[in-house]
Amino acid sequence: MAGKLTKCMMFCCMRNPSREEMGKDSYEEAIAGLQQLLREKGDLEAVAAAKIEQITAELQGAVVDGKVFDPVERMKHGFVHFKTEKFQKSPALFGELAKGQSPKFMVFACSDSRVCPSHILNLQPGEAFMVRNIANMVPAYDQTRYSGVGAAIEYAVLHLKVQNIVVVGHSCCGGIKGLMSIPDDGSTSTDFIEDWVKICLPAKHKVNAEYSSLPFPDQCSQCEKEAVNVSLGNLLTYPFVREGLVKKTLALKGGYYDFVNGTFELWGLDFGLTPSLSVREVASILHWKL
Amino acid sequence: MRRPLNYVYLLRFLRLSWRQNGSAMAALRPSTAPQPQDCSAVTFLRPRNSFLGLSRTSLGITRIYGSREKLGKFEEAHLRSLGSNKSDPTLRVEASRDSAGLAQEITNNNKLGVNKIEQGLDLFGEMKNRFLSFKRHKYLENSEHFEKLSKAQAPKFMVIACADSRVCPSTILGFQPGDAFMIRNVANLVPPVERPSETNAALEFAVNTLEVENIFVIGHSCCGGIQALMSMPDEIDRSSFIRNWVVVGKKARLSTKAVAANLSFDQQCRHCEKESINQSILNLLTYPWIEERVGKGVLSIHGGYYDFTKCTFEKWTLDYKRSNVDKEGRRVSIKDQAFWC
Repeated sequence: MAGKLTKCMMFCCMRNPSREEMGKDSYEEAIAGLQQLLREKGDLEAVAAAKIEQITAELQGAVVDGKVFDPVERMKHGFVHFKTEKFQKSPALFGELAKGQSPKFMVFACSDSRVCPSHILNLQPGEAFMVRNIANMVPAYDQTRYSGVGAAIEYAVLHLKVQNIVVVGHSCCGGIKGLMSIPDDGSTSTDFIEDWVKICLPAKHKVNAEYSSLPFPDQCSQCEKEAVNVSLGNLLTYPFVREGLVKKTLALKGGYYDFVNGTFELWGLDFGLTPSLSVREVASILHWKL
Repeated sequence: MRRPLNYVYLLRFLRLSWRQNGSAMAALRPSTAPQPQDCSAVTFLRPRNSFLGLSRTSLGITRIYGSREKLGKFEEAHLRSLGSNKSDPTLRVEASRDSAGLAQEITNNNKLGVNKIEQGLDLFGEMKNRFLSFKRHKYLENSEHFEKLSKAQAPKFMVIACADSRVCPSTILGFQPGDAFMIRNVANLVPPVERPSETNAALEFAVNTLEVENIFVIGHSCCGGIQALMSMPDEIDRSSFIRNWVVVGKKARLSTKAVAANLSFDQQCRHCEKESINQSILNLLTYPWIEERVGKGVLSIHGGYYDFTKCTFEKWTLDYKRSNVDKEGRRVSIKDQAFWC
């Protein structure tokens, strides 16, 4: 009793108990409490032993490089690094960015944690207006279901006046795998995922028709690239995108990041208008007499 | 599975990109092709691209090779072919077609078009260099880590951030490949479960399949989407995509106008930027599988606010147990607030 009281007084006297010290004390108290309980109820020992083993295993799993993973510390460290190494070293750039942005790119990329375009293309703050969703898909114009994507494209093209829209696909995409796994009867087992990836159903049909002899993983790789093309085609359903393409103020590009082999492919979509031909010219071409 | 013809298309694409001051410009000058009599009525040319089953005449694919060596050899081969084949008849046909189409517009627009094309090609040349630099300095130097990642991802975070070019969480919070599953949309909004949107699918995948442990909704200063939300008229405008989307945050707008009506419009926007983060956090709880996991303590929800005018970051965590349902609906109770500057 007296021992415990001394500990209490020490707590009050200490100005700033460190987190580790406090942790240690609460751990010792917890262990003491458990020992007391087991002295009173011996038949609980087996249960206690099992639970302690479970806790030990969990904590071992959580320890990374000798430290328990703390998400907040991780982010704080990241932010401080950004502030000291980037923000403070380029005051002119960040001063301008604080007033407004004028990115040249709009990028559609997958939400996959491995494919952030800021890393693989080293995009700096201010360079790319970026939308990230499952399987980097662009749905066709739909004000009701897909106003989020529509809003992003509208903002980028009409307000920010980006010059390029780039849709970047990638290898081992879970969304595309999900698309390729949808049964032929179209039945779904998820709440939202399959309804979303069905946007690129034309890609799946093309792959099934042209690459049916390939093993499933290779079919998925083909589908990943075809789906980018479907998305590029869907961009054309937005009138402001078509207008930009016709006026040549906007260009569309498709990309594919293969993180298994470490490669990046880039291709373009050509879109243009021919001048109209007068009826007389057509007639002369077809050898009719007017 | 590469078809043999691709190599030819590859060269054509690169030819266009390297010849910036020569033939590329010639392609846009008026040629001797007959001037069309009436350009005002135009017809759509179907996009010349493979997936529509048309000829792949203009599909140029640039394959960016991984190693320097390969790149060197490739460039050599391509330069050789350039020298030996100065006038490519196909290219000329395409060029004349283009120039006829532009004939009516050959005024100042022509120069602008050329400059934009040159700039465009510069931009993608730069992109290629950046990818190769990433490969050299990150991918190859951490090949074991990337090999593991290529088999599966196990991110601890799901981040919902704005599409704004200035606020990529990989940059400002240092998320590395494999760290964070990321959703980015206009104004970092999370609609409630009953409203159809593209965000739903990503939430389902991250929570149910990847089983992330933390969801982080990050807002920021000077958000154009929030500004659009705050300046919207009270009647919903169906003609604009932007308004149709940002209306998801209307509760944040209402509560901002209720408490901050006496502040300037800019200050109200700042307030709404933070309110909408909390609104999105509440909307996350309308997804049953999210609420279940949060209730069990295996999923934490955090809010964050990045102010890029001062370079500060505020962070807070949802205190689920204390966020009670009251008469006005659930209120967010927070804990573990931090301010980094």
